[in-house]
Amino acid sequence: MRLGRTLFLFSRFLAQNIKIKLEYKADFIIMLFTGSALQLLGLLFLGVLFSKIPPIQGWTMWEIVLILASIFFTEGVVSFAFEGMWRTVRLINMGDLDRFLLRPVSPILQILVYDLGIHGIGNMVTGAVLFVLALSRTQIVWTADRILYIPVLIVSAAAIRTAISFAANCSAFWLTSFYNAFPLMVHQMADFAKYPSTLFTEPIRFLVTVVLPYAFIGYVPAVYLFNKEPWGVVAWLVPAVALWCVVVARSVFYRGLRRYDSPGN
Amino acid sequence: MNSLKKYVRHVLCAIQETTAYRASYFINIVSQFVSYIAIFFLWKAVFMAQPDIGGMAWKDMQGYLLISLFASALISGSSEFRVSRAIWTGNIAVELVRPVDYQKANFAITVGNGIAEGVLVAAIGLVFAVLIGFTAPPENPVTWLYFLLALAFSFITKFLIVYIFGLFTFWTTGGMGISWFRRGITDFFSGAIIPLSFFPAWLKTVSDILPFRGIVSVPATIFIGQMPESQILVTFAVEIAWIAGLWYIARLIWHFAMRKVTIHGG
Repeated sequence: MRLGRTLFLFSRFLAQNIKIKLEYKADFIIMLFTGSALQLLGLLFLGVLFSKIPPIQGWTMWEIVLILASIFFTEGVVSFAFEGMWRTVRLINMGDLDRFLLRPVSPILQILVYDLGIHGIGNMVTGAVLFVLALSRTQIVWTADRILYIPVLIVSAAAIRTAISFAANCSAFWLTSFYNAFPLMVHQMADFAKYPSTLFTEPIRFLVTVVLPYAFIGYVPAVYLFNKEPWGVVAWLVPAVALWCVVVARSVFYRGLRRYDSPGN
Repeated sequence: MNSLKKYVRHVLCAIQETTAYRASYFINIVSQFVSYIAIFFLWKAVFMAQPDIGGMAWKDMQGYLLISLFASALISGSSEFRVSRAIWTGNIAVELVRPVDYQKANFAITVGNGIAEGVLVAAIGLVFAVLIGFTAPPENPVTWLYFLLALAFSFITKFLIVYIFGLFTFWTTGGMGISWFRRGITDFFSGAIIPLSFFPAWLKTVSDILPFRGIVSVPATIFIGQMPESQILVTFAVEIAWIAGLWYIARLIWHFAMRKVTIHGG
């Protein structure tokens, strides 16, 4: 019942957001274009890199492109649906959060859907195209469990990214500075997920697998799909990791909320 | 003389502002640092597999990345959004009333931020250098001179590009998308993540014509001693031409924007 209502509200919020965005046509087109253009530059980077060198530690270019594609896609889903979390700092500092607290709807839902990232569409499209291209240039043995894994991965990876970024944005409850770069820094750390974790030193690997489990949205699933290592099956832990991230993010928000005192009017 | 004094004041105020909000600046610069660590390890793996790429060895690449980090971090954070925020909030109206030239004042503020940030960035750069065990700074003092000049050109070029992209906010309703786009283009065509010498010929030609390479590629290549002196002078001439060109392009955009400006409230 509650889930149904949340989904219903979510779809209504989304519809309203799309109407708002369509009002500003220049912005709409620029953002749509920006998402794809940036990801294509990232791909060009890989193209140049691999034109100069042999496979990196046993990974071919298209295998890494597949990791990137899945990250682009989930990034797109998250920006499209939950861009509002990037407004958290402003909402808290300006006291606009008051309004959300008065409504009989979860404040978390209201924050997440407060904004919609048009560039997410560009990311999703680029991600999907790259995914298909990479599939035709890599070898994956498509067993039933691997096929089933793809939707599980997309949903869980989106949840992981949303939860981590949202929790980082909630730092605004503690850091009252208006310009808070901490969430962006945490977001940036997902860069480590774009490449095989074996490239990095132990502390970084620990960071991206345990503290901020970004490895589960790119590298670990790729190990499983390409059957690179026998431990690849741990990729199936991704829904559990996602659940854990969501629980932590939720508690960070409510903990922060207890500290929140409105700047008042 | 009197008019110069106004802008010097801007510089001093910006230094004070930066030091007042040092925690934010610190986190912002550390976040740049983070993405460089990922790139650094990627390149390290690449050079372990192949010791020489296009005439560059791993120690050259280390020097290159060090300068790239430094140059990319110099104008960031608040400078990036100053213009677009002023336009977006309507505060640009106040700026228009002030008896200063907006473009010059903005440059002065960016210089002030740059001085304060530069100290922090240099400190972080040193830590980075120690961490990666980089021990091959240029030995020739003339190289250092060219490098510092290239860094000055890099700063001015980047300011103008950031400023021009900021002005585009007059035609949009937010600065975020524009800023991302600018950052993506700058990072790529300046050679921040991949040296331009590794580009395929057609792409290298494109990036040699564009002004972006002055931001990272030129100072970094000079720093690792891979640009011959004759080429340095030609490159500097091109950079000066671009700076003059961009300065007037910015003026032109400003001129068109003034016809279209609408400011809410009042």
